[in-house]
Amino acid sequence: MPHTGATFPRLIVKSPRGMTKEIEIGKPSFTIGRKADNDLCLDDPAISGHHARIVKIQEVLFLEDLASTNGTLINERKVDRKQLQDADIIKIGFYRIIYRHDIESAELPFPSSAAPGTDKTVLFTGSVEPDRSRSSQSVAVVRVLSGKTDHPEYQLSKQLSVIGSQENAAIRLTGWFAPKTAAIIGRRANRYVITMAEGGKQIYVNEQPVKGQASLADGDVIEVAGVKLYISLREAAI
Amino acid sequence: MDSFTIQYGATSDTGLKRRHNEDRFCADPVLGLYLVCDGMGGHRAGEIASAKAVETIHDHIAATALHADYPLVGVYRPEFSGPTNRLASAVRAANLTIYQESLRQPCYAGMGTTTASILISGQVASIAHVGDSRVYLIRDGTVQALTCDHSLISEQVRVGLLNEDDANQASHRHVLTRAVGVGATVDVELAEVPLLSGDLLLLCTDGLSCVPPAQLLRVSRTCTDPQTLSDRLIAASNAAGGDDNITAVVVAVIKSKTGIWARLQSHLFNI
Repeated sequence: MPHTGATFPRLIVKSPRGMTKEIEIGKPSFTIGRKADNDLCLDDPAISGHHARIVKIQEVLFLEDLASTNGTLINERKVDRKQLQDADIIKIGFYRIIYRHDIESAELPFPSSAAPGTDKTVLFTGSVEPDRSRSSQSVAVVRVLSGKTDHPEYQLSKQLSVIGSQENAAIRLTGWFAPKTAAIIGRRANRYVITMAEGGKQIYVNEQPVKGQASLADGDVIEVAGVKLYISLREAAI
Repeated sequence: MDSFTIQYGATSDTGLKRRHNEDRFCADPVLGLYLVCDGMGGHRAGEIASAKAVETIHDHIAATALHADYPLVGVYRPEFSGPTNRLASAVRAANLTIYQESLRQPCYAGMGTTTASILISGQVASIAHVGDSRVYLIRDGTVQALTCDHSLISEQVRVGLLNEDDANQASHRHVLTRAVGVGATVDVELAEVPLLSGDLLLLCTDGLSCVPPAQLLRVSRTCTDPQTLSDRLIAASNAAGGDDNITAVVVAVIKSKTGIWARLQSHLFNI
């Protein structure tokens, strides 16, 4: 493979999320690893702090694994030290890195799957910041069509909302003979499921008797312990 | 009020390839607490971490059950019930205990543990988990995972970079993204599930991950006794290779008599 000499050899780095970037190997010792002081810093917990380096010895580039925990692969073979050839595919952690030192072939279309969003990987650092993004979901609203309850409308912001006469019930029944727990509505990944109370009375969704549990959809009407409830799913901030 | 009773079975095994069992479990039907922990760390530190986690979580739940105003560790999350917040607090307390121990003793540096814990109060099971130990719900002939592993592989599968088959072969299978005891704080994942009679809850460490859910279901159909079931699950895992320590805790929700005598009896004897 002819070396043009005019351009630096390059690495095309493909992240696990499909983002690509190009970086020139402009130094005689070019380091790759997870820590910020590397020439190529890759954010992946499977990559060691100082994972590998590329060294230039008389115009020839070698890749050296720096005794990394999970190893370095070139064209699917584990290597400690190997001379780099054009179009070699280096695998480090979940990153794929393509080595190019021929400018013309580097112009070949490279599949870059458009991945929106950030290139954030979860690090095994111990101090993990809480991820509460899941909780900003749409919240179901329950409107009371008939029957005795303490409010005319409820937001189901809890994981489990108890329908019953007990004090901490989310939907509190105030009828004379209302059971302590009549049913429980649970939320899991934006889906709502109603479960009958153990040993409780029959509940109905859209006039169909529920056996054990039933999924709820927008516009469903629940009948439980003499109370009719209308479910609506709408956007609301928690 | 409860018209069901809980029975449980628990089995832990070293597996076929390891020399020590770093898994620990706890089953306390009085508190309604069931949990498994899978320790990690060299020189038996893993065993220390998982044993400490079990002990701390149990003691914390016992203390909060006795004293309503017992201080909780971490933030109270209003979208979850009181018992769920108590369980989260217990896991955070365990995190702190293990972390402090690892700072005190150099040979324990970096030790940690996973946990999958459930606390049953009334009809609701609170679930707290960290790491790659799992909780499954077997109901009406289907098996459902109630937890998502906090592992690198699982995150990759979730964003669509790996499919399930590749994930089982991958070399980074055991890289966790969260663990109890490796940092000053831990993000505990919480969930709540209403129980129905006939439900089976299965808590297991990653030794059982090599047994696919369909097979878990098949094994669960072979018997009704929870102890026999947990024994058979361990046998199934060992038959599939037994690469790792395996622990299974099976919690069976059984319909009980709702007559006045049965209710009075359960009230008096607190069962």
